[in-house]
Amino acid sequence: MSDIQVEGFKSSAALAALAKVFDSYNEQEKKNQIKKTNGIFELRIKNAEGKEGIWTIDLKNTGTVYKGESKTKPNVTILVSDDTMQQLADGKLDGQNAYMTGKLKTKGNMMFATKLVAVLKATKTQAKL
Amino acid sequence: MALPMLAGSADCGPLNPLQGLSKELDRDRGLQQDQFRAPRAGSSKQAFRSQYAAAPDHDAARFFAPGPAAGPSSLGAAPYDLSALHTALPPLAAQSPAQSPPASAAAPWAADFMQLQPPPAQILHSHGFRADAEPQATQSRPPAPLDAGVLNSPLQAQQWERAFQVHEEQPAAAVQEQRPAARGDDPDDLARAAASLIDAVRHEQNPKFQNSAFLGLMKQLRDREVVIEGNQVVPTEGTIPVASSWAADFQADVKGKGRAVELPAPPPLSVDHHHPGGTPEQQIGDAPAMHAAEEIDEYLRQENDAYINYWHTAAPPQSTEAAHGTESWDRLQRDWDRFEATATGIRPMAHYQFQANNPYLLGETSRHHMMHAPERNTMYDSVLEMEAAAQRSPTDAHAWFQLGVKQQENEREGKAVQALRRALELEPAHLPSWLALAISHTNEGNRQGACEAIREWVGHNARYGAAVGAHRAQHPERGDMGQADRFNDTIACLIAMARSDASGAIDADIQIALAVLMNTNEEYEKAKDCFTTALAVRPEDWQLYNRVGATLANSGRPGEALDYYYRALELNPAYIRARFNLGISCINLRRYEEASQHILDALSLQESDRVGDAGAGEGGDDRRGITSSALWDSLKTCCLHLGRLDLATLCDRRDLDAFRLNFHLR
Repeated sequence: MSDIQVEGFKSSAALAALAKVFDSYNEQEKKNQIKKTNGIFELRIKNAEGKEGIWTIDLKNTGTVYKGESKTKPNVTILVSDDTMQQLADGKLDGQNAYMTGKLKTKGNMMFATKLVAVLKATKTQAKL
Repeated sequence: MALPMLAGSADCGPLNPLQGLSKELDRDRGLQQDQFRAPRAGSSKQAFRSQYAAAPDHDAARFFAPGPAAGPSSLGAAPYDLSALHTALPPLAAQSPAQSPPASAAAPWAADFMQLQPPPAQILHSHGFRADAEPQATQSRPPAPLDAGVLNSPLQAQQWERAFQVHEEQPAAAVQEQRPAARGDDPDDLARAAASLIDAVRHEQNPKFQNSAFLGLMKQLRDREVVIEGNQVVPTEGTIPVASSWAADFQADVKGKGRAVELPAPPPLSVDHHHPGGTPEQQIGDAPAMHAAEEIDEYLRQENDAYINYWHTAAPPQSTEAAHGTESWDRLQRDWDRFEATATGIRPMAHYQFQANNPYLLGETSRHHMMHAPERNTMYDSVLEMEAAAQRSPTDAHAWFQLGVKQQENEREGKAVQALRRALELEPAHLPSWLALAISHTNEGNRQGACEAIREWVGHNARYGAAVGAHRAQHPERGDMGQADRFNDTIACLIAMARSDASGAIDADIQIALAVLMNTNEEYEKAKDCFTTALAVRPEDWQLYNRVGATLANSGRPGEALDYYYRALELNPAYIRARFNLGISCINLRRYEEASQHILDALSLQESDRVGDAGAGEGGDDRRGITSSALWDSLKTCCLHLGRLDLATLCDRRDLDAFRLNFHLR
């Protein structure tokens, strides 16, 4: 499908979807999203076999998602398990809760990490009542 | 346009520049032009460059030699064989009286350059040039020193070419300008001539003529606002250069003309040095007497052509001016349409924009009374019908409320909010409108708006007045309450209201209000409980099914939401919002094919609300107001996931028809 999705990482599908959403943004939308977030997340996701995959969500310069370490210094590095990431992406688990229960660890600006959930959610269309 | 007559019988009077003007104009060059058209179309330009303008010289010389013998003699000296061209000349051409005057010997040059009537000044200038080039061809003038460098350099040829092109661009204007410009140097003479001309045509009522640049120039000349200097029309010192755009156009043309004339080697003023007294008398003297009979006819014809040409060039600015006028009126009309006149005055209609040409507005409504029926089934009514109802009775809060709810169902949140606000303006105590407004605000992500709407709903709810009063007594409202406090207070109040009903019956509206607040606070589990409780009382309410589904979907359980959506659609197949939500859930479940189908269905349903012929005028905008961009964006996301870039671009263009056509193609 895309180079972002990796076999063995369930949550990578969500990240691939996120990348698609960013791709579909026009310049203005992208600019808005960057302005709202203004930072780089580096996600180090550990899957069930103990393998680690690294993805970067750049919402500071380019507004893209890519596989691999952040090209510039990330604002925050988030260490998380594949399952937890999946739940976060689906909105079943909220970030603060995950952090409190130790499912999610951060390096760098911890407060900025809370924006991740907002980013994941903003790219998802809300169902209307 | 009998100018020669109007100009007076100057034949026997003193020098009349205008008469001279007519003389200049009346020379018939039709034949020359005919002859020169063919070669020009073919290779004359080529010859220009490759032969350093030598060939055209011979051409012209031979052509204008007064007798048949002159042609060959001049040709003899030329290294080029022009016999083919020579044979192409009709015998008549040389004998034509119109062509024989030596004063016009160089005219073919100009004719070559300009398909149109060659301006006299141009002829005269080029005449000087020609005289230098071909002494034997010029009968009446002393030979001037040959300026070979100027003549033969390719650069010179190119300059001519350029000059020619400039002329071609504005031939008609040049004709106009040239006439005054060609006249004498004496500004007084010019002014007099202009004055007499204006005097002569003052009875002409045609507004086009009255406003024409020609007349404008004449007036300027008369009033000494401009003088002719060389070939330029120059405003005299101290006068405002241009009074109108006409004059501006005119000046621009004059400048173009001046540029064109400057390029040829001899300066404009040198003309008169070459043939002193080359003014009207000479012209008259040169012209054969038999000429005079045709004079008026020819003059009329040429003058006509000139004016037709002129008006061709003059018309466009006028018409754009007119178009501009209509445009601004249209704009005024459009602005006016945004207002409505009411008993209390005029106020902006920013809140709700109806679709134009609503067919339901035609004729009498037979269902008007039904609008007031409390349990009216809105399922089978189209948005247009409801818009018509609201338009018919713009002060009927209930009609506006119905319209608002319908617009919600049809996934047009903005319009729904506008309609509901209008309903509440008319009837602030209309409870269902407050509740619907709260839902709309929740969907918009406007937490505060939703909370305020619920508070209003609570405040206006007479049935629970006692319970609310008791709650307020316990928890007095304070002005400095923060957003969170107000929110919690409202929830507490709602719970108190729900408890106050001793009969144990469930009030679905309270449950819905609670659920809406929970939703805004992202307490989806509680919200879902409230909605399902309400559903127990109203098992046929498709909106509630959709709301339960949406709550589930937003809490990350799209799979469970599907069943509720399906149920809602069973109850109301035209429920666009549920269909769209179904599509969103399918996206979240990565069932993109299914999702795109659902969203496409929703879009088609939205599109069906469009007035059939509304697309004719402002099609694009109209349609965009009808289909919502959120749907298009979701559809685009689907297409990207499906790898259908072609469809994604169609989404950007909001082209539903094309999308439908291409959707099933692989």
